[in-house]
Amino acid sequence: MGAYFIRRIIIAIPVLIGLTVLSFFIISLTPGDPLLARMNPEALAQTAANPELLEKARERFGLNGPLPVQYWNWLTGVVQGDLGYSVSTRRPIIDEIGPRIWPSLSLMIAASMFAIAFGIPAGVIAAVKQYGRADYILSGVTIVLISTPSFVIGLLAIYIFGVNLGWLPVGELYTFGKEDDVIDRISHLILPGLVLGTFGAALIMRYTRASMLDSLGSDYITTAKSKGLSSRIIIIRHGLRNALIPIITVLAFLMPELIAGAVVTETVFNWPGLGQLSVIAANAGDPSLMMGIILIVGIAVIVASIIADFGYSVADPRIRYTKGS
Amino acid sequence: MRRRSIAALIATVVMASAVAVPAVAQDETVLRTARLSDGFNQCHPVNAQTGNQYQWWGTIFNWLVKVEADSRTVVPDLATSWATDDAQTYTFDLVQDASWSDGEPFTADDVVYSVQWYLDNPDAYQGFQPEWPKVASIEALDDYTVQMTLDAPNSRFLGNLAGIANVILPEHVLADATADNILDLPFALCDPDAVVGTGPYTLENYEPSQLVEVVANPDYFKGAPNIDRIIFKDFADPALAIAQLESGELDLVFRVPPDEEARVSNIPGLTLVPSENPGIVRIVVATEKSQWSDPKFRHAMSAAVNRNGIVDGLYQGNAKVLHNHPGFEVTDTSLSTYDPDKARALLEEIGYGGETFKILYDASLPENQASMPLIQSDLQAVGIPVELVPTPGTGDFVDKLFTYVDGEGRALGDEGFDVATATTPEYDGFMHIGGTEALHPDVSNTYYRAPNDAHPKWLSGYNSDAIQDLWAAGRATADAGEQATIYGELGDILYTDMPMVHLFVPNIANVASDCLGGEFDIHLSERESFMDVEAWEWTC
Amino acid sequence: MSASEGVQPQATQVVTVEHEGLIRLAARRFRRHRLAMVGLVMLTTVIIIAVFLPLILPLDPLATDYGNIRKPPSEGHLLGGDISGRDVWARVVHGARVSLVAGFGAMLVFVTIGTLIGLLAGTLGGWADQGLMRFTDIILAIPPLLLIIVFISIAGPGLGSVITVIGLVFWPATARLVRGQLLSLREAEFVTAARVVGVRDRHIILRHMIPNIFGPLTVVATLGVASAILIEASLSFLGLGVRPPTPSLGDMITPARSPTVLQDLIWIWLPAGIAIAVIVMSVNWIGDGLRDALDPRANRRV
Repeated sequence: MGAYFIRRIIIAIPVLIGLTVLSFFIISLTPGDPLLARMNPEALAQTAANPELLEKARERFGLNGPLPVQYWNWLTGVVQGDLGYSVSTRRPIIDEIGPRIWPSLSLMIAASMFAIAFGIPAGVIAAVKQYGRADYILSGVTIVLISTPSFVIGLLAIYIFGVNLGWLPVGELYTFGKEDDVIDRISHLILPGLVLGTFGAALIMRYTRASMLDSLGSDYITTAKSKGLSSRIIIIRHGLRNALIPIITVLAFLMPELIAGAVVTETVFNWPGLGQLSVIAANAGDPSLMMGIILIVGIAVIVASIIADFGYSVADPRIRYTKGS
Repeated sequence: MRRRSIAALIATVVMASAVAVPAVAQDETVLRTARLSDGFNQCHPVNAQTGNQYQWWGTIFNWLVKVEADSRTVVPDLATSWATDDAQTYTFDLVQDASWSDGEPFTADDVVYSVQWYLDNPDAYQGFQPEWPKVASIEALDDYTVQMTLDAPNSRFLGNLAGIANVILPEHVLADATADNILDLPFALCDPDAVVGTGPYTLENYEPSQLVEVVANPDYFKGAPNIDRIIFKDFADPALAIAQLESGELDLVFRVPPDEEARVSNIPGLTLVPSENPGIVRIVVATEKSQWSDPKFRHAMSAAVNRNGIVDGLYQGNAKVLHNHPGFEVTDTSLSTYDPDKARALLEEIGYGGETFKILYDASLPENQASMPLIQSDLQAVGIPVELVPTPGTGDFVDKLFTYVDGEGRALGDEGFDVATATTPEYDGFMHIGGTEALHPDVSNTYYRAPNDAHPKWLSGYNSDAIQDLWAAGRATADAGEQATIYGELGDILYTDMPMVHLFVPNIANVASDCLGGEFDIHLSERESFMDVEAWEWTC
Repeated sequence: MSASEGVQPQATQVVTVEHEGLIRLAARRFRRHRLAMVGLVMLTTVIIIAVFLPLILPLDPLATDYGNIRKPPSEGHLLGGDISGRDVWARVVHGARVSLVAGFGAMLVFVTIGTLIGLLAGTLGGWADQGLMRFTDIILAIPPLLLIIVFISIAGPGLGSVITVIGLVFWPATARLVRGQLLSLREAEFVTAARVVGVRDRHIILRHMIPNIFGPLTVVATLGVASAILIEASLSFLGLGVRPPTPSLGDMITPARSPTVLQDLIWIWLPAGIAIAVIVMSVNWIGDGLRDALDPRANRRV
């Protein structure tokens, strides 16, 4: 099993590199020069008179030389833990990205937890009560949630729960003065986590329902129903266990979606994560910052899929990652 | 069962890692306020671009002089008194018991350094300019006396000294800074360990685009401040600040968007403080472009926009029509009266060929969001095709202001772009919001560059010796009658040449918690309010 | 099966039933799916309104009116006025147009690109195939909205950019589908037999691949339309999508960030939100119906 994972990680590295090469190339297509774009006319005139000034600045931000050279410099820097400098904020990119990793990660974990906590039971109920009223209501709500843009859900959530009912705080990581208060941090996580998790919950609900029905068949369920509660529970457990694999697949597939969905959610809630940063970087035309974000996000996605593989082996003992499988 | 325990494990890990920060004293007084995120995260005035930075610099820095809540009356700050016979040579007596936050005593050398560095590196300041270019020479007469001689008499000098870019900087920290490296110094990048000021607060925590946190400086020379800690939270969108006001997470917010005033005034524990707006909303036209260089084109624009429609329809009368720079008296408003027919006639008269007018604007400002389509419609109704170019945020807006095309119309990134001739902006006009020009006619001078000044030409290519001479004349005299004549003439020229089409200005409402007491007061130019922060008290 | 690592062909069986019978069967199953029929009706209604209503009635989404600023629904303004006094109903109708164009336009782009790449990978095989599949993995590893934001900052805002950019990000699913079909076709015995007899590869592909791929491809395309519409709305909401003053349903919701608009001036943003939800819901239902109708065995996959 260990060997399999080592192999997986080794295979993931070229994908990661390919990802960075592709991103680098795409980002380099951005029109304009990020350095020159930040200079006022007097400074521009100065650099025309003294080109070395510009060269020095380019060197500092890794923007000199032909593209492959730039990429190589960037890559060697990354391996040593240096992501370069951001042209728009003039600070090391690690300082920009670092503090935002945990907020994004905690948001995704919260969203995944909500997605599972709501999605699986909803799917089970819908499957067991297939074509009944509960099924239609749950399926209906699910479709509405998938079809409504997340920023609409977010805005509604802020005003219903945050402002009108006053149950939950609105935006940001913690209330000032309570950084160490775990309950406070969790309470700040609830609204954005719920909003981000809605899409995932709906998706998981559909998958759970479908695969429960698949693995069990409705006849099986009807028989179990007639037989009574205890055997129904056994049936549900059995169906759920088989449904785990597709659910884990959905979760792994969900990771990029969550990171993507986080862009909108983080904007609506002023959540200081990587999604918010990516919008800032795109607007500011800051290539190195975007590269840094894509790198971190790419790693996160690959890690997520490896964890998903781990989940498979836990969920289904029949799957053994041995040589030759 | 296994699933449940895994879930519990994950939950425990999540919660355990949420506890990462040491405890904070519980009985501190904390003031939480909002500021509009603008992407400018510097602590050195070389890059003073917006009033949002100004807001919190007042807590960690000082000026030679400050102003009172009317934003006009000059009062002592680091200078305890001053003297001048001719409005040209000024002698300042400085406080003797002030010290920098790292313990070094404040002396006249710091003042000399702050001014001299500018004189040695005039191109380094990229945004708002300080008063220092008007200084011909500066000298420390002794440790606590400074003498400055201006290159011409200037009755406005003192009044302008409280402007954002005139903060006094520590010589012992920044002596080795050069124009090349100034922006990269930890001080400029707001590293809390490197930023040193004389102010009532010191910088404790700085997270760009998120928050600024300052703590009380017990050794402040005017006495320790009453409020222990102030948090400035960044908001990309004013709306989220409103939400936090409602949920009790903010205590002070400047410039509540007019649409939210009714709602905010109903929140218990907060008081809405209305105020006049000393600034502007106007279209700055790139007059150096040949198609817009005829003043009659600007007159046509001016006649095309229905200012009263905006004031009444958009703001329900909670705004004011502007005809000219607000510092100047307006007698004849015929050039800015709504008259679409006149506009069309003017355009025909100058042979306008229907070229598209590209307007750049900051879409994150409430003043722009609803008014731009209205302005566009009005202009298009008289035959000027308008292309709207919104930027999602203030940082990008200022970046785009600096987007220039060269002599051949090539932009940055184009083949053969010639940096040396790149002095024409890419946009045709932009929406300029804010400022404090109502305070005094001389303030408008900030936006018109003398042709031989080494400053960024970032506002309309318009300038002339005539207007510069008039401003200089206004400064040279202190006589009210003379000034009225001079500024009257200046106002007329600016109105007739109209490089900037003034439109309207919304009234301001600031909102403060009822717990803010002591000598808490909001300045007319509200972002200066933190100049007096040490006298504020938290009474709850 | 020599499927390359990590890629499962969408359909592992090649069906050789006559086209017409298949389509008729599918249509019948689709009709029985209640929600899908509702979705079809809803979508058709929306399309008819969006396309034809502006031709009959004078609906100008750009006309500002100082007297109509923030006014609730009234005579002449079915849904009232927005923050600049423009007619909300007119903007909803035109915004729906933009959403539909964005959704279907993006779908055409990603189906085209995906099919081309899938065909290339499947027919070329070997290194080219592996390379293209790794390339697909890479695109899939980047979160879509992130990649789209990067592309938009290059291409600049605007409807054309949005369509192209979404298309450039969504093609992997289609490519995998097409390639999988091609590969399984290769393995089928009757194909080998047909080749031996002398039937040209192109005929085999045309006669057999298309009916097999039609089902799953339609499902992927339909769900792609739904996602594309939501993404266009999100981009416009963030200020990165369609350029003003072109109306966009997402852009109409941006003012709702103001509490007063959100709670008191509901007519300004809620109709746009409902419109998006209705359009996307109907497309999703149709997609569900298509999936059940065309490939009843595949109800565990999307």
